[in-house]
Amino acid sequence: MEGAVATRSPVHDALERLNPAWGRIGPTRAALHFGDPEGEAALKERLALCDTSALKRFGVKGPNAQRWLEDHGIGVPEPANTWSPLPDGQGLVARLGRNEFLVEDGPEGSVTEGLGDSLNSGARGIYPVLRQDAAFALTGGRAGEVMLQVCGVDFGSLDYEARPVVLTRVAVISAVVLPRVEGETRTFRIWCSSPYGVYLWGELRGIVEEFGGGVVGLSAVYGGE
Amino acid sequence: MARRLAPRGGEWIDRNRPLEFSFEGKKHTGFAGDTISSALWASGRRLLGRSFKYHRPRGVFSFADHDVNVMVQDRALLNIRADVTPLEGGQKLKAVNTVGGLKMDLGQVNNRLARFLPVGFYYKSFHKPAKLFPYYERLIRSAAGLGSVTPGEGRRHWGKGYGFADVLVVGAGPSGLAAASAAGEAGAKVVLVDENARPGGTLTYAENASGGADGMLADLLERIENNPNVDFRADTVASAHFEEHWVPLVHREHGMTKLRAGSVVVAGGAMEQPAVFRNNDMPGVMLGSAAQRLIHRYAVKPFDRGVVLAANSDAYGVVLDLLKAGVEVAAVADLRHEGEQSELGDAVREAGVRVHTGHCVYEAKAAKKGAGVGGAVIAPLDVQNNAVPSRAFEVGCDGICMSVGWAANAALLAQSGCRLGYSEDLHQFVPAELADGIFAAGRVNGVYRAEDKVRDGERAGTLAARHVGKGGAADAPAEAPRHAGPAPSHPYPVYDHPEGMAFVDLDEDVQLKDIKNSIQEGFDSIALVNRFATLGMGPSQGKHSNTNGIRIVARLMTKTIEETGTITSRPFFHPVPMGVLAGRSFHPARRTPMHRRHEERGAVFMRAGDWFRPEYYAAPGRGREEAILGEVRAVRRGVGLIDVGTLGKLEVAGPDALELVERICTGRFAKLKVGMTRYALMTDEAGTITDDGVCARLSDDHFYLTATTSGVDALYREMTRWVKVWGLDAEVTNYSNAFAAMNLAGPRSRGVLSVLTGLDLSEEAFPYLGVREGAVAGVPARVMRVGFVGELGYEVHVPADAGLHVWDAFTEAGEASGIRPFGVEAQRRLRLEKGHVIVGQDTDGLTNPWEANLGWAVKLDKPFFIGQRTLKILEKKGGEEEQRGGEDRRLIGQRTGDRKLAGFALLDGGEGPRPKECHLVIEDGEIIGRVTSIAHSEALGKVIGLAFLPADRTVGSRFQIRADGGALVDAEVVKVPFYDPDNSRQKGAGQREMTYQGGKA
Repeated sequence: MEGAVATRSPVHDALERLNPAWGRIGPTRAALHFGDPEGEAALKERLALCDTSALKRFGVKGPNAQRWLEDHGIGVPEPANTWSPLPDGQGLVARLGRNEFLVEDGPEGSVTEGLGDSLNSGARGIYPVLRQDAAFALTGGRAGEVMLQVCGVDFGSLDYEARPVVLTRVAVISAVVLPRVEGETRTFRIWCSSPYGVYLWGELRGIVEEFGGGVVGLSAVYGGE
Repeated sequence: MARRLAPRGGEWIDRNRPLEFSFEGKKHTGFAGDTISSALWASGRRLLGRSFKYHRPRGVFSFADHDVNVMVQDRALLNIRADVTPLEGGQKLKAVNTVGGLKMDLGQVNNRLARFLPVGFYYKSFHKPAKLFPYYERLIRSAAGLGSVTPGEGRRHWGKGYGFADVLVVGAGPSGLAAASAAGEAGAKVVLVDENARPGGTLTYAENASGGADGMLADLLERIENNPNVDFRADTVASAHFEEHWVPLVHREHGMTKLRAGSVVVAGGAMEQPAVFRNNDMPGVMLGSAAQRLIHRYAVKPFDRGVVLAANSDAYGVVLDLLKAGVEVAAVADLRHEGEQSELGDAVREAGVRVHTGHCVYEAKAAKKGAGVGGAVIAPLDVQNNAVPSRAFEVGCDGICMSVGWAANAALLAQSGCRLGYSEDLHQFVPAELADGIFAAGRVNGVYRAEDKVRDGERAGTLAARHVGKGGAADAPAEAPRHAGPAPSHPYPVYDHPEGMAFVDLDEDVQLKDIKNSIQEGFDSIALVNRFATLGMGPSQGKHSNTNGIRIVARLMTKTIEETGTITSRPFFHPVPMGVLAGRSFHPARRTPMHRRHEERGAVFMRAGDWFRPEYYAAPGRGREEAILGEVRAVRRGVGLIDVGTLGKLEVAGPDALELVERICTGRFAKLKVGMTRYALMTDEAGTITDDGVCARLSDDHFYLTATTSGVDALYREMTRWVKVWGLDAEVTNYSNAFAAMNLAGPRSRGVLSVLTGLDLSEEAFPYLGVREGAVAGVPARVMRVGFVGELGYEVHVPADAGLHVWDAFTEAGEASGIRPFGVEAQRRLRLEKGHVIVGQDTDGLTNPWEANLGWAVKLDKPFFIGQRTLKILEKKGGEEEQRGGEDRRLIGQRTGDRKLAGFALLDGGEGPRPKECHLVIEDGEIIGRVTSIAHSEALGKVIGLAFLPADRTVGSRFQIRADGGALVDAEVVKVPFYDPDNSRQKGAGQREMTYQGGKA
């Protein structure tokens, strides 16, 4: 009776209604595009919302978590509430506090694989955290305007060189926001608890569309097919 | 377009875009750029609205967003301010405060009855006799509301977002434009807002009065346009000031921006104030600045023949503007005996206009035909500023302009904590002490000459930028330029008339005599008059009435203005539509991973906190009760599956994990074996139950603790706080959202689970209250044997993203066993049969463990837990009671007269009225308890429940519950659990065939 385990994005049903081209990241289906990859690439520059929940991620906390990650070849940012890229350039490690970390692979990444298994030995001061986030990317020239509709943080005043991570509220629910500026493109990565996924996706999508943007697949944000 | 003037430079209308609309059923045409009022006035209409109380005719008055008697409705959109709202093609407008239409308004009868409706009339009249109060209530509600709601109209959403600026400049007149430029040039990010459609303030209409305006506006606008640091927002009202410079910016289309600024420059200018005389509210009587706006912005001739009531230089600018617009100015009545000694005064005299110095307008006379002014009665003033009616004379006219003074638009300053002082030189309140980060410029600062306003704006903008660390040590004087020359405001432009109708506040029809009567009745301060006479309590919030109100109260109380004080300015100083306040209305909702399956099965959802939970699963042709009963039967006879993913789930790990659990929970866990669970109860320092759940020991220093759906967030916060306070080496992780959870319950649950897992489910290997970790349907899972619903059951927790996979697997595996999903209502009934308490439903904010029959879960002899000290005191009191011969304290509670949660059954078998949760237990007419849970038990064949009762009620005691309609229903205390009292079903008799007593197939 034990078939292949099919895991799902918290907003799987909302994506399915948009008739996406599905791909797979590990056991989870990911919407790669919605039939118009070129249009979505343009949308990404203007204003786009993308579900990134399927990306693999791993959480760990505890007083010895930093050393443990470094022992596994994962360099972590020193200040709290900052992030640094993983070597493949697509993944990232975010420091969510003094002793808590979120590691997220890019679509092709594999850094998080096996990390959990190696913790089963029960090392002291290292506690794995099951990450079951709804994760989104809000990107484009008008992304900042959308964030102003849902979040009270002045992202414009942040020092982006310092790679900030903001623990805040987005549309009145708790969320982690990672703002990035790359050239002319602004991107906000947003993680929230998965049960709120449908709610937050709906609110963000509504505002994005009101501001002339739309939904794009993972390929528009990360490239690839 | 009877009153439209020839095209003129600087007008705001686009004559190439005519717009058709209707008002009160009649078609009109205006232009893009018109406001509703300007278009109507241009078309020759003078009656635009009705006053609130007396339904008197009203027209253009302030034309500055304060004409609240000219509010209109466009289909579903109500209370549109016609004086400032842009005209749109196709609008179907009607006045809001009429009975039967604007022209034939039946409410006019109030005007005839005015003498019988004095101030305070309805406070005194509409409360007796008491039996008529419902009638009065309907009457007052009907009279009080403006506009009519259109039922069924879809909701309109306004945006509500955040904004940030180094410097916020409020007001884009000459001082505001200069301030924004200076701050922007210093490097500050500036947001500049103005409630008007275009920037420029007085420079866009009062060209004569401002002086030196030629080129000034163009220069200021160029500076703004060339400055990328300045973000100008038109049609935007800065409607309040809150702590730390939070200012809500309201735009009628875009909604609200909650802007946080580093510093704020208030350059909101001054609001022209009316004079008080008889019939000063008639259509055709208007402020001088209103007439100037009509002329310069909208190219509308205010009237044909007018009288100007003057008390400052601005009035003479108005006269010159009227003359240029082709208005015959029949007379100027100047309140000042010395008149106007300036070039403006000379120009007016040279134009041949008759100027009566030391005269007032004593009364406006109605036109013989139509609504509005037909003449002005001008009276000389004695040296005490009193009118001398015996020497009055009448001048025929169809319009009267009032230019007698100004009031600083200082509400934001007051709300920010600035202290305002009254300047006898200006006859105006000005800032005496500014709050940190707040700066003032222009007329609000008592600066009236255009060049001075620009200088003052430069000064304030530079200081505001410096406040946020921009612009270095740029030179800027600390003080505003001082006003030179005669005061721009008259100290007391108020002229009484024996026949009344001299209005101080047009919003609420407050007359001069109403203020006099208020003071005579003992309301002897401005704050009391404000409330009793409703002075300044209308939609314009006293913008054109408070100044005169204060002057009148001061005069009547023989006090100075400073002694009289001001009316408190509270946010929002400008009314904001409810829809804008509501904004996007975020209503967070949580869904479990199985939500879609619930929908497919016909779940009827209920909200548990912000979670969606299936209350029950509906089916065609099956009612709610039948559906729930079917779910109950499935669990009792076969197997049911419930989504319990909303439960709180906390993981506690680390060397001090046990210590933390011991201190948080009332029970003892030190001896809890790895692989076992135990009921966990939590109390606060007062010994009150706060939460409960199950604590599973996964290893020596690793616990998994469940809590209630609604209580877990507070519990998590408390636990993480105590970890820090106590310095424990333990980590608490809130997994409430990360794990999906489902409860497989019923005598056949073991069989279904065995298909999906390799775990040994035998009684010996996995006993009641055991916990195991292993794969279920290929997914890593935590499985707990619990019995909340009183049957063999397994609670399975898996990562949320695999929740649906496991649910589907159970559904498929259980198909042969008749598995059926069950909802919250079935679960509640099942647990009620077991007498299990739901914290929050069967307990309240005062319930201690003994009252809830949970004393068995409290271990007072362990070293410590939160609430232990209080519970020890209670127990001691209980012991004393026992020594006095009281009954078993564990059953009846601790204190004499205290309550306990008792099981009961209705004596009528549920045939009569059915009490509900929260219905009261009544004895001798007194409330002695209440029902916390109640339901019909099919298994027992009767209605059972839990209720708080006096602690001395023992099994067999009878009592009465008052049901809906007042019927008293008899009930009897019975033992709990009601069902399966030895717990054999949940403890492991599941392997045997069991008899279910309830129901048929």
